[in-house]
Parts: sequence; C-alpha cells; structure tokens
Amino acid sequence: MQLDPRAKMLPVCLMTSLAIIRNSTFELFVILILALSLAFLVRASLAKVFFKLRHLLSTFLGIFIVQLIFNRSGEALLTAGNRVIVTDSGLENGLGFVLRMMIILLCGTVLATSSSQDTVNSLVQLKLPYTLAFMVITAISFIPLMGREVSHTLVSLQLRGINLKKIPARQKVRAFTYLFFPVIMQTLDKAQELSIALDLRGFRSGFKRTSRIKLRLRYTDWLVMALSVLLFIMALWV
Amino acid sequence: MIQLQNVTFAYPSHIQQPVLSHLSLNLRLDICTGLIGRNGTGKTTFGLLLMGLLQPVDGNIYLNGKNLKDSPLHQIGSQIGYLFQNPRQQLFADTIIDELLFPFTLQQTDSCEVRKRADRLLTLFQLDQNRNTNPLSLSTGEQKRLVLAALMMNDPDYLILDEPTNGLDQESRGILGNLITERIMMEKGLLLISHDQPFVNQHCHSVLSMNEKNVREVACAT
Ligand SMILES: Nc1ncnc2c1ncn2[C@@H]1O[C@H](COP(=O)(O)OP(=O)(O)OP(=O)(O)O)[C@@H](O)[C@H]1O
Ligand SMILES: [Mg+2]
Repeated sequence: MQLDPRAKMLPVCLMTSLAIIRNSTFELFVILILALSLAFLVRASLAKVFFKLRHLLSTFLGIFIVQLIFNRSGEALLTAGNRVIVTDSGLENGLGFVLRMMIILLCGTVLATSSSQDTVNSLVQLKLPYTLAFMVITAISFIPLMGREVSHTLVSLQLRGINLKKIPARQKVRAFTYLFFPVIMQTLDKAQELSIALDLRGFRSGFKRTSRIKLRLRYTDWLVMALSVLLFIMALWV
Repeated sequence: MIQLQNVTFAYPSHIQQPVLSHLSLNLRLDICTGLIGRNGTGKTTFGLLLMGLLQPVDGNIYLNGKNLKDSPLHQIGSQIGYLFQNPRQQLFADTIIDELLFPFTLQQTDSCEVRKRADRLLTLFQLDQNRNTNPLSLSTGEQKRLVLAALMMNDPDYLILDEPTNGLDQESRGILGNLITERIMMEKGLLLISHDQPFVNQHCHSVLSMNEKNVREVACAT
C-alpha cells in the first residue's frame, strides 16, 4: 500500500519511543510485531535489506551472546555443575537489545520506502525549513555513497598487490588508515562539489521555493496515524 | 598470454544489452596492443574484465593458462598493473614517497632494495622534488604519473592503461613513451586503451578496434 511519508513517520516515531521507554521482553516483542506489520503494509523489501545487513545481524548475535554469558545478575537459568552459565536477566538484556535493534532496522526500512523527494516535501509541509529538510535527506544519501567508496577502495588496495588477509596483526591499524583516508577524502570531495553545484544553481537565492507536488493525506493515511496514536496511548496506559 | 574464450558480458542493470558478446581472442603479453573505439563501446569494461574486477556472464578468461575466476585480486594485481581512467581512485597515502612504499611496509616486505627502486621511479617520473607532498594536492597529470610509478613498484608483467595520455603534457607523454619502449625491450607488454591515435600508432604493435558489435584487429605492424 502507498502511504504518505507523514503517515509512516508518525508510527515510526511512536514505536521507537516506546521501544526505548519499555523494557520487558514481551512488550518489545509486541512492538516488533507491529513494526513488522507496518513494513509489510508498505511493502518494504525486507529480504533485500536484511541480506545487505547480514554482517550487522551477526554483530547483533555476538552482542546477544556476550550479554548472555557475562551478565551475572538475576537467577540462574542454566548451570553446569555449580557454575552459572545463563541468568534470567542476562537473557532478558540480550533479547531486549536484539529486539530494539530489529525495531530500529524495520523502522528505517519503512521510511526508506518513500522517495527522498517525497520525504523532503512532507517535512516541508510539516513546516520544517526547506534547507533543513534538504540537509537531512542529503546526509542520509551519503551513507550508501560511503559504503560504495569503501568497497572500491578495498578493491584498489588489493590491485596494488596487497593481500589483505596476510597483513600482520601489528600493521592492521595502519592498513585501516590507508582504507579510510581515501574514503573520507572522496566523500568530502563529493560534498564540496555538491555544495558548489548547489550555489551555481542558485540554491537559496532568496525566492520562496514552491513545489508542483502537494502531498495529500488520504483516508488510509489518517487511519494508520489514528491507529498508531491509539495503540501508543493504550501502551502508555498498561 | 591472456585468452578470452567466448566471453559475454552485460551489466546487471542492462542484462538484455551485452557490452561484449561471444568474444574470443588472444592477447600477447610481450607486445603493446592498442584498443581504440568510440565512447561507450566497452573499452573500459574490457579492461575491468581482464583484471577480474567484472565477471563474464558466459565464457572464461585465462591469464597464463589459469582461469581468472580462481585467482585472488591481489595476485592479479601484482601481475598486471592497472591504471584507472581517474587516478584519484588509486591514491591512498598522505605523501608521495609513502604512496610507493606503503604496500611493502604494510606487508613488512620493505627493504633497502625497495627504497632504492622507489627513489629511481620518482626520479624517472619527475616527482622527486617534493616527495612529502600530499598526492591529492597534485595536478591530475602528476597524479597519473604517481600512480604509474606506484604500479611499477610491483614490476608487473603486463600493464593495462585506461586513457593514460589524457591530460598529460608533451613532456609527460615522452616519459610514458620511454617507459613503454623500455618495457617492450624486456618483453613486458601492455594494453593501451586510448583515443590518442598518434600515441597508439607510435607505440603499438597491434591495434584492436572496438565497436558496438565486436572487436577486430585493424592494424599489425611488421
Ligand atoms: N556500471 C555500469 N552499469 C551499467 N552500464 C554501464 C556501467 N558502466 C558502463 N556501462 C555501459 O557499458 C557501455 C560501455 O562502457 P565503457 O565505460 O566500457 O565504455 P568505454 O569504451 O570505456 O567509453 P569511453 O571511451 O567513454 O571511456 C556503455 O554503454 C555504458 O553505458
Ligand atoms: Mg573508458
């Protein structure tokens, strides 16, 4: 279903706030289900996103395991002989972390289903200054750009005959500087080019900006927003 | 020898319009081969395929009998030096001298001999006046010379140069020309992708011409 960007932002804000306020595993799980339904509703390409972020997901798993093993408070759930391996609060903290991260990821994918043009327009219609809205969107679009730069740079480094797997441990930190120096320089270059190009095209030259497209909230948008406010209030109540 | 067997390649976004289709040819590694053709006919794509940076949709490419698919990038990189159309993509260090030395210091293979080679190359490419300059503050022509010098540090068997004379002045062209002649004498050849007809005519023993449909040999010096 096509939803107005504003109809996505409201539930996303409410869900992420709830995910921070609430602690219990059950509540977080319910929020996750809600986020998942929203993602399905707007037809976010979940499989694609999660495939791209598979390394991040394994990091989550790592943090989960660390929480599980090193959190010593609470009551023992699993013991080996007289050594405690997993405690209930360790499990709860670990699950809480993973659930929260999943909620944030899902909310991100939901927002990403609107084009950046639509998102800028909707922010402007919410009375945010255009310059600010434009800046937010530009900043976000720089993240994938940096990702691409990183993979290009990794390839070019190997073309210099460097076997990245065989770099001695002592030199690993230095290797990172040769990776990030060009990435940061290229990104700064792009940012500077962009700002010059914007100036040359008369960005913010004093005229009030108008837009051909006026976003209208349809009744499904209202429905989604009303429903999310209702659920939010109910969640605060219980 | 680089052998292409029935190679077809298309970019994933334009899978219906292959850039190369069913291309078979052999490239000798000991001569200078020119590759010419109009904009967008796939010269850069061809070079990237030879480096294993793009994988053919169909067919195989062999470097000295070994399938490129089975060679790790760093190994291809130390056998074939590749100069990108845009040299900035190949600069990593914050000084000129470190640009030549860092692959060796990282892998802890630097030695007196490596340093001497770096000195020699900087002199050859006329970059030895201020070797602590940041490479990104050099002009494009100087950056190209620096990348060439850095590529020569590995003493590769073959070079693929994508429009190397673009933006080079007469003197830098001369330096590049000398390098090519010198390498040919050691039977180390190169692929010269270029729109610079005079330069190609002067240095290449064989010229391939690319158009939308195929690649063919148009000239062969005796
Ligand atoms: N990353 C890409 N994705 C999709 N199509 C591409 C990509 N890169 C190149 N192409 C297309 O492939 C074709 C060949 O491009 P290529 O860069 O190899 O041409 P070229 O012969 O090097 O041109 P030039 O003389 O301008 O350097 C072009 O039609 C181009 O549009
Ligand atoms: Mg090209």
